[in-house]
Amino acid sequence: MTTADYLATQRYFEDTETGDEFEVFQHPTTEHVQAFLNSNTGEGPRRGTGDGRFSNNSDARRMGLERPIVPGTMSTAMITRIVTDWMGPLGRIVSLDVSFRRPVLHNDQLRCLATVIDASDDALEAGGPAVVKLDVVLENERGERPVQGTAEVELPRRAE
Amino acid sequence: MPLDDQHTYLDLHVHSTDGSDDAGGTVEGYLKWAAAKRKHGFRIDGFVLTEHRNYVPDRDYAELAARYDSVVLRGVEVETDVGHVLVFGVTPEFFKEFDVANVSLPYREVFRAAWEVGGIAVGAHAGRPHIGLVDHVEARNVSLEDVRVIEGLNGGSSDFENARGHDLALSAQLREIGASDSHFVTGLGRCMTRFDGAVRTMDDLVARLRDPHAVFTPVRLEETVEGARIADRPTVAQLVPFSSRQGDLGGDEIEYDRSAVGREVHAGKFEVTRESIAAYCEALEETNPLYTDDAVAAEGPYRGVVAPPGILQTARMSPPPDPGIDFGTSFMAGSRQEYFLPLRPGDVIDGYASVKEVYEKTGRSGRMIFVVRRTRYVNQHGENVAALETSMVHRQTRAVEGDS
Repeated sequence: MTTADYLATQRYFEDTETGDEFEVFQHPTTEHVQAFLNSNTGEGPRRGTGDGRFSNNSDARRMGLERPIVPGTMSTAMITRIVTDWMGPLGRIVSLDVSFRRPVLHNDQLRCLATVIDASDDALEAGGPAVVKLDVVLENERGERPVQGTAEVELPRRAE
Repeated sequence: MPLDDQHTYLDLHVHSTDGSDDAGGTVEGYLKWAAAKRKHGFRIDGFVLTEHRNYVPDRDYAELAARYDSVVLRGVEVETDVGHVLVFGVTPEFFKEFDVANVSLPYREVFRAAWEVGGIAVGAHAGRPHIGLVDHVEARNVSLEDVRVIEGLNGGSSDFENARGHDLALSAQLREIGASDSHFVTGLGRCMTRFDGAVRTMDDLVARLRDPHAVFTPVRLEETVEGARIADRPTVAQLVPFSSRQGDLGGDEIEYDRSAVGREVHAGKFEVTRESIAAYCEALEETNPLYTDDAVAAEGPYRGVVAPPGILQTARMSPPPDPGIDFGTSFMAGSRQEYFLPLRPGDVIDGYASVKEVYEKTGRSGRMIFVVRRTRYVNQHGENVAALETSMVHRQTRAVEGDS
């Protein structure tokens, strides 16, 4: 991708409308989960190595889980990614809230969906930044929505 | 489509940021969403805010609702020894009798008291494990003498859970409502109740729900468009069971070290490196050139490669002071992230962590204790780059039976 191609993916405030949807599909395999855990960095204790819930089938079932689960931090990262994909290089995540309502399991087929829920000019008229609100959801192949959230994203205006 | 007097479509179970800790939808956000759906031919005429375990008497949404040609009413969702219960038409007398913050209210008294003060109580998400009536009828044969209406169609429940509720309604001759149980704006109206005639006020709503002859029907959003048929509801026998039933309700008060709450400690340090960015991107199959391509990123808004914001999810930090919750196993329940500045390769980030709060509620998996941790991240220049709040839930677990 060239710089020009990439910048052409930019989303602008004027082009968004309440109800607009954007989706990405993710399929977190056991290998992806392990790679994510291995990418952890810092001085604190290693994650995901204790009780086996993120890696071991028997351990997961002992804890009442159908199969190993995707770490909440990785689900959050997947949600974050759909927002950054949607907003383009000049966008900025102001805040992101997510809520876990069911476990995300290894090998779930996930539809990551972002929906514009507020793109009104209220904030701009009040002299504020061009902030768009999104609902963000991970939906599995069973029709459940194990992770839901909201994001506030600041977008550039075409006039800027 | 504007409100009409032939039918009213109301979502009777909605949570907002004004009163529910786990909600992300604002009241005005819901109203805007309802207006947007109407433009596409769907009917969402209004909703009832049923915040978890609290009711602020002087809150009034009438003016806001009128601005969007919509109805916004208020009830409350309380937690009882047979699960969650929606209460409509509550009065000060009701609140004198119960502390609605209690997570184990006596259900018969709640149903009776609501009726006696002129309101009505409705068994919420009736088919859901633990927090719906069906489990308690099946396991303990609890009396339904004071129960007239249940939420048999709930937007947050699985099809199987809704079928369990529907079966109970059929066998016990209970009336059914539908509602979304929405915590986020796009969930509004996924399930609703269609009333014959106009329902504009809480008095209208309570009168319909109390009247055994009133006509109301649970519906899904797609069944509200003109010409759509309201489909037959499946029964348990037609569906494959799936349940996340885990722990129990009730029990002694959880002891924990309250002095751990609010104390911030240095939780560790990590360096943002090109290698850590690459490893993160590989795990998530992230190909955004802002994070992966020097040439493209050099022309971008940050004049160089930056780290994806989600990389903070991989930062290993020591936990904050331990409140010592000795209950079940902990799982991540939610997070709130705020980003202030981009992270660049070479940045050295210090984390400062604290426990923000500890609280209890009940859910599908029984009793749950929540611990909310907050970590703020500061770069080598002393600038706050981000803040993350993580909510951990402690709950009981039971092994899955059978072969995997």
